[in-house]
Amino acid sequence: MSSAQAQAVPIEAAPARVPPTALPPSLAAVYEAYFDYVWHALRRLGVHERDLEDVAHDVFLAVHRRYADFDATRPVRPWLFGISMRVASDYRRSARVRREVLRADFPEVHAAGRGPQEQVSAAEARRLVLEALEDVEMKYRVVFVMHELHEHSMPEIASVVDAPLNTLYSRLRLARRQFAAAFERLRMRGAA
Amino acid sequence: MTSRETLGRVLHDALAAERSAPVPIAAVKARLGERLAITIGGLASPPAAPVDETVRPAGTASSEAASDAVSQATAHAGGGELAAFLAKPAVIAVAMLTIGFGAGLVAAPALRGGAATDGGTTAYKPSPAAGVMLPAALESPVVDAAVVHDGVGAAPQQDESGRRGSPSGSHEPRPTRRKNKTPVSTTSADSRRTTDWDLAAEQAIIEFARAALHRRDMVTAIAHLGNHASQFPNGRLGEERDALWIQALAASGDRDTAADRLARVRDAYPHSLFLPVAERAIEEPR
Repeated sequence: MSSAQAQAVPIEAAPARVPPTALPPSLAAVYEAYFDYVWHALRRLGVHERDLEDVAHDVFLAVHRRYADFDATRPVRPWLFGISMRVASDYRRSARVRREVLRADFPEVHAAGRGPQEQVSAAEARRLVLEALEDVEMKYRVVFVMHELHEHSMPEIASVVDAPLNTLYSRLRLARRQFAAAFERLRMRGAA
Repeated sequence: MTSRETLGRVLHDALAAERSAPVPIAAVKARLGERLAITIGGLASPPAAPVDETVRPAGTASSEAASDAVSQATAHAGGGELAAFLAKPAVIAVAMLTIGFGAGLVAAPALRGGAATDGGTTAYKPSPAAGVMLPAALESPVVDAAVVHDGVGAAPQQDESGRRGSPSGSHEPRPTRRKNKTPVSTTSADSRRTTDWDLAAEQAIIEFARAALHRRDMVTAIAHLGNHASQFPNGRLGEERDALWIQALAASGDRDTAADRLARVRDAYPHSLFLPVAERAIEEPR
C-alpha cells in the first residue's frame, strides 16, 4: 500500500494495535511485504470476502510453519502463491462454501486521484472479473490468475503448479477462452 | 501471445482494474496480525531456518560460521526484505546451535553406530546458562538414543489386558480412569484450549521432522520424531509420526529396522492412510 493510498481514506487513521515485533521476525517481514499479495491471490482463487481474513490467517500460519523449507534461491511470491493455492483449495472443498456473488465487504483503501464514477466503474469491472473467474476451471484458473493478474512468468508458474511449460501455455489459452466467454455472458446479462 | 491480442479491450481494461484492486485498510491488516501473533504464541517460537550444520556437536558452532550462514543466505536472497526474511532466522538457528541445540540431536552417533551419550539418554534442552528460549515443543523431551537407533522402544506395546498401545508408546504406566471424579479446577474451555495447544505442538514437531526429511537430513528428522514419541506417546499424530519414521529409516539405509517398524505399524493401524507411503519408502530403490 502506498502512502498516497493510505492517506486517501480517513478511517485509515485507526492505529494498528499490533506492533511488528509481536510476530516472529521472519514472518513479520513476509507479512508486511506480501500481505496485499496473499490477500488478492486468495480473492482471485475464489475465497469469499467474508472468509478472507480467516483463510489469510491460515496462509500465514502455513508460511510460519514452512519457511524452514523455503529455498532462498527462489522468489518469494510464487512460493506464497503455492501455499495460498493449497489453503484456498482446502477452503473451497469445505462444505460451508457456497457459490455466491463476490463483493467487497471489507472497507478498502481507494486510489487517490480517481473520481467517484471512475471508482464505481472500476469496482464493477473487478466484480465482473471475479465472477467470470468462478466459471473457469480451477486448474486453468490458477495459471490465468498467476499470469494475467499477478504477472508471473511461466517458469515461475511451473514451479508452483509442477507441470511442463507446454501444458501451462495450453492451460492459459483454455483459461482465456473460458474467462472471455464467462465475462461476455455476465456483461450481456448486466446490460439486459 | 498476450492477453491484449486475445481478450479484447474491455476485458483488458477489466483485468487492469482487477490488477490494481484496492487493498484492505490497515486496520484489517493489523487485526489479522494480532490474530496471527496470538495463534503463533500458542505454538511457541518459530522453527529454526535450515542450517546444514544441524548435527554439529555442542559448542563447536563458531561465530564465523554464523556470519557465513547469514551472509550466504543474504547473497542468495538478493537483498532487501528477503534478506531480512532469511537472515534473522539464520542467526537464531546458529545461536541455538551454539548453545547446544546440536547436542540434542545426538541421534547422529547412534545412527552411525556410535555409542549413546549419557547412559543412553540425551536431551534437546539448551544449557540453562544460555538463557535462550527454545520452542516449547522442543524444550523438555528426552530422546533415548537407543530407541532412535533401532526403533524398538517405539514398538506397539501390549499391556496385560491385551490392549494395544501406540506403536511408539513409552514404558510409562497408562493413566487409569478415576471412578470418583473430583472437582477439577479447569473449565471445559480451558481444557479444550490445552488440547488444541497440544495438537499444535504435535503438529509443529511433525512439521520440523517433515522439513528435515524433505531436505534429506535423516538424523534431525528421526531426532524430532523421537522427540514427538517421548512427548506424545499417545498423540493424535502418532500414525503420521510412524510413517515419517519409516521413511526416514528407509532413506537413511536402515531398511531392516524400517521394515520391522512397518510391520508393527501395520499391525497397530491396519487401515492407516499413511501405510502406502511407508510401504513405498521401503520398496523404493536406494
